Amino acid sequence: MQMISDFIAMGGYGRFIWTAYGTAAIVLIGLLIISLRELRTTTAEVEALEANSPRRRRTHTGDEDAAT
Amino acid sequence: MIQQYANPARFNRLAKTLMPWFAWPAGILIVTGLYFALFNSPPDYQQGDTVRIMYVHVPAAWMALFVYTSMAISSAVGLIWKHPLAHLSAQAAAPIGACFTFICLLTGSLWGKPMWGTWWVWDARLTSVLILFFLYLGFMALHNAFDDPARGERSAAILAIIGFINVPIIKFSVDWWNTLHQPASVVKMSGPAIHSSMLYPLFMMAIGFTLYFGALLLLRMKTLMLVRRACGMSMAQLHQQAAE
Repeated sequence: MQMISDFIAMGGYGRFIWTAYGTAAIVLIGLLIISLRELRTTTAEVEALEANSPRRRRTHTGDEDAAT
Repeated sequence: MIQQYANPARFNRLAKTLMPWFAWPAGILIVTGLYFALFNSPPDYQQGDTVRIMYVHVPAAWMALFVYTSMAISSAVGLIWKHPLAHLSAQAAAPIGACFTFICLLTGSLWGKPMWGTWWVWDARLTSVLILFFLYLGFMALHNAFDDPARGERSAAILAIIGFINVPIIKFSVDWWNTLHQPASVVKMSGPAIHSSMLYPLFMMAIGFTLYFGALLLLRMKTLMLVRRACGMSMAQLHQQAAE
């Protein structure tokens, strides 16, 4: 028990150290989650558009190369 | 050869192959690095346990500079050779770099308070890193400021290239001016001035962060390509509807 509370206290600097690690984790994991969610919604959007115009699909793969 | 990857299908295939090689080692290195940083590295003889902030602060600072450099290079490639993926990669990298710079500033502040007695000083190192943060934000804002995406791309690329002057200023600010910030102790001519028990977790975190950046960059580039595709497709559908 003593060991755990010593570890959390970090020699009296616990609040600085844990805030630093905590916010870094929130920012990096948050960015990852946001990016994954963006990929998922955009993929769904493109699939919906493709489903909407099955006739134009083939012609479109042609000009994408030039467009991107 | 690089031109081949301008094709979205080829890029996606390459990204799919590379992704696990970035993502898994990134996770493993960061977790192991955290274990050493928090449990299995010695406290500093002067700074006590606050030195543990270094394992996040320093790799985040390196990444802030590394990502900006990569962004400036892709912007230049985009402007000069008009490689279609170059601007896309700069655009995808900017938010990641901004996040690393934010982490660097915040953890630095949390380290400064107990060790220097202040959250912030307007000295060369701290101010130049704050400017770097604003350069990232400015780049993202410029990208979205124009109706014509090509103009936004160009303006943002020019900002990224001009702003690159700030990178060496940050690096050498601790040598050129008197600052509260300590000079470099890892990347220097005479070799690192840090014991290996601190150097190993530092490198693990740094390589982990770099791989995390690689994985996230591929993922965000893929999203941006899909956004463009969706844009092109909905435009085409509108034209078609108008024609009918």
